[in-house]
Amino acid sequence: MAARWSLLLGTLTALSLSSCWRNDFAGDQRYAPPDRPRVGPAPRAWIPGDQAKTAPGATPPKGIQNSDNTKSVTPPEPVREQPVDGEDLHTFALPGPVAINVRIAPPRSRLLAERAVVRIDLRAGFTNGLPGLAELVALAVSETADGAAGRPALNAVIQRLGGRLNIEVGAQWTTITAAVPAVSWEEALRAMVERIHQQPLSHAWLASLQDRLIKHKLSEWRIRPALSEADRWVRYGAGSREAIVHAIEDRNLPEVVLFQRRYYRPRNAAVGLWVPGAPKDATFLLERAKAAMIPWRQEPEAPMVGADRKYVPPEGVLWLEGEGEPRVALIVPCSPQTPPSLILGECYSMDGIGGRLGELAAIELGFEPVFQVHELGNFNERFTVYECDLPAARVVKFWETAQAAWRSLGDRPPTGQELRAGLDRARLQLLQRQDHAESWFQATSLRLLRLEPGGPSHDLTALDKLTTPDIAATARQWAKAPLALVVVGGSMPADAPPTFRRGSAAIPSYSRAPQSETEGTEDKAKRYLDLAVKALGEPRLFRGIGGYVAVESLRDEDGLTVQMRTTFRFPDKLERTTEVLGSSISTKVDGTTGRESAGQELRTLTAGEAVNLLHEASRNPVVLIAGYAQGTLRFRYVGQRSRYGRRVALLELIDDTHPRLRMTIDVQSGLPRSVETSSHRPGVGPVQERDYYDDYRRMRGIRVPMHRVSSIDTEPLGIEATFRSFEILPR
Amino acid sequence: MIRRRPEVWARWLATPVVVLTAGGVDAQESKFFRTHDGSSFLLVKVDSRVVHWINLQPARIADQPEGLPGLAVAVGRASLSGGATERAGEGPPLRWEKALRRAPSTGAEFVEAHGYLGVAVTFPNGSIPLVAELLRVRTQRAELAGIEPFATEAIRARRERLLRTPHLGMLRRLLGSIKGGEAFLPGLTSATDKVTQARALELYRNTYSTNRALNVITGGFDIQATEEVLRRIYSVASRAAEPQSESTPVAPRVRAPEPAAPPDRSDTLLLACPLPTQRDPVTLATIDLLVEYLAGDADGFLPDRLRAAGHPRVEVAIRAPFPEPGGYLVVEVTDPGSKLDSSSKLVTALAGALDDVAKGPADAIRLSRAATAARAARTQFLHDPRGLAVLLAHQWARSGSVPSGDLAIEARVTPVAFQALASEVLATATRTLILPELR
Repeated sequence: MAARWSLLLGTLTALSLSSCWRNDFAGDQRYAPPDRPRVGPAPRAWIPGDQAKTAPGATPPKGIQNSDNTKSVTPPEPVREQPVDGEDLHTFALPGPVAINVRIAPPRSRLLAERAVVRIDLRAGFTNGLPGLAELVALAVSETADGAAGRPALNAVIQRLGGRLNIEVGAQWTTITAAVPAVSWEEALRAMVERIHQQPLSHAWLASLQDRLIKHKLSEWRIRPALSEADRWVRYGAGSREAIVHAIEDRNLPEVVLFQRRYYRPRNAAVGLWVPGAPKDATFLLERAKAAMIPWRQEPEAPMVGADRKYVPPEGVLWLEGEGEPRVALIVPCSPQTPPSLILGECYSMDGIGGRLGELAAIELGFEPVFQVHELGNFNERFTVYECDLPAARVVKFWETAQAAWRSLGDRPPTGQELRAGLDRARLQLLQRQDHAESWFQATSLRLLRLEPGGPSHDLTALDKLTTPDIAATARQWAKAPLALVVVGGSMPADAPPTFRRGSAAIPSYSRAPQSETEGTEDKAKRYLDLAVKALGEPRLFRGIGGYVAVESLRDEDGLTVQMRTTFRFPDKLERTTEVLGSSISTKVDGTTGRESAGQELRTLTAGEAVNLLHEASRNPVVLIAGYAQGTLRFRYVGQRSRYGRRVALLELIDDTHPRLRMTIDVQSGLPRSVETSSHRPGVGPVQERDYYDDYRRMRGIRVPMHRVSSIDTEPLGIEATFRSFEILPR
Repeated sequence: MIRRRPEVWARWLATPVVVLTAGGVDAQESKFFRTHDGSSFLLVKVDSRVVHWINLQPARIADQPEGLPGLAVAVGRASLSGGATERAGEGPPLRWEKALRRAPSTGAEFVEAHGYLGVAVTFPNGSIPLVAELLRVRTQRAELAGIEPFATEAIRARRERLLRTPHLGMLRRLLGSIKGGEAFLPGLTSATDKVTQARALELYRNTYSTNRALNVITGGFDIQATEEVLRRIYSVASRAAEPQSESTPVAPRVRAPEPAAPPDRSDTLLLACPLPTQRDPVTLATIDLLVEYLAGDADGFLPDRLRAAGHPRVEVAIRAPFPEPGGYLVVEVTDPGSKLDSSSKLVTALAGALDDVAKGPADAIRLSRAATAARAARTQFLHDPRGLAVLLAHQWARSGSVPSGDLAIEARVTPVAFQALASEVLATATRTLILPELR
């Protein structure tokens, strides 16, 4: 019976969570651990999926038992790779972190400072979680101090050690690199690991980080409009600048904490160490590194919930119209960085001057542009950006020229002269990489994590082995990749091709509204709340609401159906009957106490569970609007957003005692469209919940939504509730 | 946030001098020599398979016509573009740059350093003769093609950079107050004088003579063989080096009205103290240490003292040297939301804090941390041979002397030397206070 009870509770909780979570919670064996590329022999199995297969009654695996019983973790022994690269590169495959790469650079000159490079590559980027989270978490890791514990921010720690910290967020990757005096590498690694898995973030500090990040972006858009727009497109995809500001502004603490728990974890990481002057035996460094990382490797892992967004590389032309002559930024894919692709890159444009692009431009445009060249993105979503000023009348021609030059690489393989120049410069690039720990880590992490099979390479001999057919084959493949062009400034010609998209170069307005300044924003919110009251009924009807009785049928994407009858009396009395899988569960909550019964089984709810149920029942839009009409709830206006294909006003409940709750109201119809809030799920931690409402029907003079679709975090909308009846109870 | 304010019109001014980790550059690893045409070379051998060459030419503000403050940058960029006869179409000619890239090399990266402009190039060992020839040709042009667009762009960029400078109005008043007369920030004028080939060539010939060039080359080459190659290529001054006194300014011209600065912030004050004019490495390192001690990122003395004195949100930034090497140490103090005037407690607290530093002795722990931070700033780029080349070039440009001999500068900055400099720089009598003017 106990097992059955557990399954029922698990299923109920899972109704609002994703399939991954459900499977994990219910012991379903479909759970698949993320790909964990290995180098050499496979590490000893310890993944949760294998633990789930442990026979009942078997001795549980050794290790740390998590408080929420999600899974236990046993750090395994490392598997050592054979050293390569002149016995100076040593790779140790560990299940968590994925791998530690150790390099003991030979002394090159006593004139060069002995600086160690400690790098942690995390598989977490813009395509994971909600937009803005990857950057905010990275900023928080760098800048958050813990005053109570006397711990300075990571950036300050590295500076005090005499080093510098660099954090780079890409589409799928975040790299955290500290270059410190060689003697301080261990301290730097310990500090990095500590901040990566633990952060004393507060609401106020997060708000200040959001403010900094948004202001930084606004400043970049002003100072380097074309390049920053290209960067935005590469990272965030085709959206507006305004949407980026809103995305960052709309993130909250539970989302940030959860993102960090999910993605900043050992199994998502590769650690690289370059420690000049260390003992020749690399295991010395490995043991010290392992000791520094113990707390992180023992950290309980948050289940992966929600699907990551597919990365869509930029394609086509985006013209942001504005004052002055246009500045263009041509975005050319440059990964994977294999030896043939390095040569082809040189053939296309010799680092911004000449090449096929320069030659064709000289013919088609009558002059040869000189580009400023930048590289955007990281790992296998890298792009070269060629930036220059160009008269508006020539932009269309330039775009055609750039594409023709790009396609010509496939149609007409590089000539002998082009190959010779390309080969020489590609060789120079590889030679330069030998001196830089950064590019070396990039290469080894990619190889270890199998993002770019075969590259990028430091192997100079690979260039000598290339044949013309090899390069021609790569060229044909390469030339199929799409290009993109950002144009900032000037006006798009009326006869521009239909593939040209028009936008505005205007910088989005942004003014941070401090939490305490609610007066103006509260008045603004009233405008939309009154609109909602009018759309749903009359003020007097809402003033008379004292609760509701709802009968609903919940159905998840796998077809599991649950019937629920909920009687909710404002503010803290709830009775619910749930029928699922042939069983019936009764729940009763009164304030912070509650109990649940299923057949003969009786269970007392914790205060947190009771409050969660009340919180869930009270976030129906009818309840929220009634609270406003009765003067018990206050909202502040956040801004307007485009959501669900509509323009909506985003309002936030003014309430410091509960997690943030936001409601959107359609600015045209006045109908509440969604309610977003966060809650704490046992075993998961904080999750972001979003309910979308529609199918409004009139019940005793008040229009109530009879259909709701719910989502958790980034999970696509999948849990559907259809109300069979919704009866208003008088006060 | 506490920060050290970088100078906006000379990006590299705030970059500290290089400190090599141990000892100096010795004969096995480096060599300084002059070729027959007057060019100065510092070769440093390191374990690398590529060569990094920094070539600098003087470009001080005093070298440039007053009405065309961006002309040196324009001349520098035009010098990379080849002669007018190579011009094709309307864009700048690119034959020289293409030849450099095909050497092969990374191409010329434009650099600015302490009143010098130049290029940084990276290439394999085998390309030394070709790159050397191309860099020599760059200083021997008969004309400078496409100078006008370069000048327009350089002046525009300079003005934009300056107009983004925080507290611009107060900085102008500070200079006016110190130097007397009209407050004027070099470079912040409209381009009143037309850029002509003749004026560009005049500046080019004055500053691009080989005997005024600094060359730092690092890489895995054979020093003796490389020296022979360079002596051969730089053997004849094809254009007679025109010995110019470094202090000879171009004749001043009529200035255009300066654009209006944004209104002062009511919560910010500036305080300037004159820096010593010596440019020896130890003095420069001591100045860096003082800046770090006063307002370092993590443990600045001034923000700590001012916060303890009842200004919990105060921010302190320091510009040094301002506006040029040998200028002033400028402390910017912001107490967000306040309205500052001469009777403000913050003014008194700041004066008291500076008096204490001037009087000494310095807090030993804080001084040690400041030394660590200063050392870290100096060595932060020294993990690769290119960083070494850049920093040696900067040290050369900043101090005016070849970076050789004992380069372990920190070891020579004793607490006594620090205190002596702090007492000299922060002496009460030499301070200039600028308060916000509220409109």
